[in-house]
Amino acid sequence: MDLGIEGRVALVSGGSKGIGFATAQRLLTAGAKVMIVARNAQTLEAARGRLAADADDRIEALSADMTDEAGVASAIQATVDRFGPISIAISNVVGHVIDPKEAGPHAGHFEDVAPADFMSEFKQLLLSAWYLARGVIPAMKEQGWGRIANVGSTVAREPRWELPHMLPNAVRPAVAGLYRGLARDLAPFGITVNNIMTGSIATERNGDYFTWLAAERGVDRGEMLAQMYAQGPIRRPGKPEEIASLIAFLSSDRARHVSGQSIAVSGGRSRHLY
Amino acid sequence: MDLGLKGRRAFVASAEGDPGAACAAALAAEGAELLSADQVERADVVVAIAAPSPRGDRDALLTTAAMNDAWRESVAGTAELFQRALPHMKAQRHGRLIVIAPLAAKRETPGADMDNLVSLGLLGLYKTVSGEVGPYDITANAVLWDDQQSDDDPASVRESIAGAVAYLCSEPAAYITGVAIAVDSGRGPEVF
Repeated sequence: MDLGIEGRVALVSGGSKGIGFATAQRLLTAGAKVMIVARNAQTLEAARGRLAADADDRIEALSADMTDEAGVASAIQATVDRFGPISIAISNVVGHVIDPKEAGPHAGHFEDVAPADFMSEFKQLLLSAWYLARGVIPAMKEQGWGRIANVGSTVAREPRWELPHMLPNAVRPAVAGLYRGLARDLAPFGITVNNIMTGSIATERNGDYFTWLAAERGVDRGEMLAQMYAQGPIRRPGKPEEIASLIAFLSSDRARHVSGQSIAVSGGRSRHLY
Repeated sequence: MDLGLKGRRAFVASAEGDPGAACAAALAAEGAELLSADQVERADVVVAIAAPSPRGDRDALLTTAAMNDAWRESVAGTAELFQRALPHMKAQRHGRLIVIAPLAAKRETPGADMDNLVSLGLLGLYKTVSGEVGPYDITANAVLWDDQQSDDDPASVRESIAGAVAYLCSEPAAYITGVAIAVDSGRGPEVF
């Protein structure tokens, strides 16, 4: 499928690993110019190097904190300076930390999480998506063309209480609501806004999470995962490339009327009819 | 983006009609071979299309006979197509089932009383099928549209519908099943 985005400028947050990296790869293959942003400069540079192999000068990387208003502003400015006005913006920021020894909001059930954790998760997942959208919309309106997508989670529609997911259970739905409203407002300007609800995707981060969770529960990691995947219609974890291909389609020119959608990529685990 | 549809055999219901023609063209452009109605048993991809029902006065439209006809054509008709294709898809552990349904399935459409009830049956159908056939790596998804939505260029909307169908039928979309995507430019009020 010709995505019709050759020469378009894309900004992908969380672009050094996993879903963000796979997304950058897809968009580059389609001929876009891509800025990847992540916090860890070392991982980021390695990612840029790998992506540059097929993309020459169409890839750039910037270390910035995309949960911070100033960080988002700096990433947008750097992208515009390097490539020109942004046409595609992918919000892909992770929430709570997995290892309780690390700083930041932690995985937990309702009674485990402090009010400050709710605020941090809100900043990381919702405000980051809001800053990014707000920052890119003016130039997209001027172009009369824009694609905004958020990498979210199926808990936006179906909370998971069997897992310590209180924080995303509360914040992911809010992001879906935010992007839904933006989609309606921006329809007249040729800008689409969508939310991707990822299920269990085989990323490095998810792997670390399962290692932690199995230890926490005192169960065998392999058995826990086998049991988990035996329940869904598609009995395996998803691949980062499978999220990336949806983002690529949603970023395409012909997807211009697909907007305001929260689309589950979860191997069919969600039970809602639509 | 390579959708991996080259050589796949696809049946599109009402491939001469709207939006079937656009879907058939999109799949063919990806290298899929289009099948005729008597070849559904060999299909790797089935796109069923539930035609929108006539709109108008509720009492005049919702007769028992008309309701039976609408249910037979859209829900039973889609079920039959899926059933004919499934043995082959299960045997090869690969398949893509799509139903294109009226947007009334998720958003009540004034005047479209028949679709307001029948289309929901289609959602119950595709969703249940998605759960049952998932273990065979067969996906089932829905694409929703309002054929009388007049705010957008109709040809442009068809192109988005066909694009969504082609993408959902692709190899890279193997992990997407049991979803309904509305192609309405984000105009609706509902979050989900």
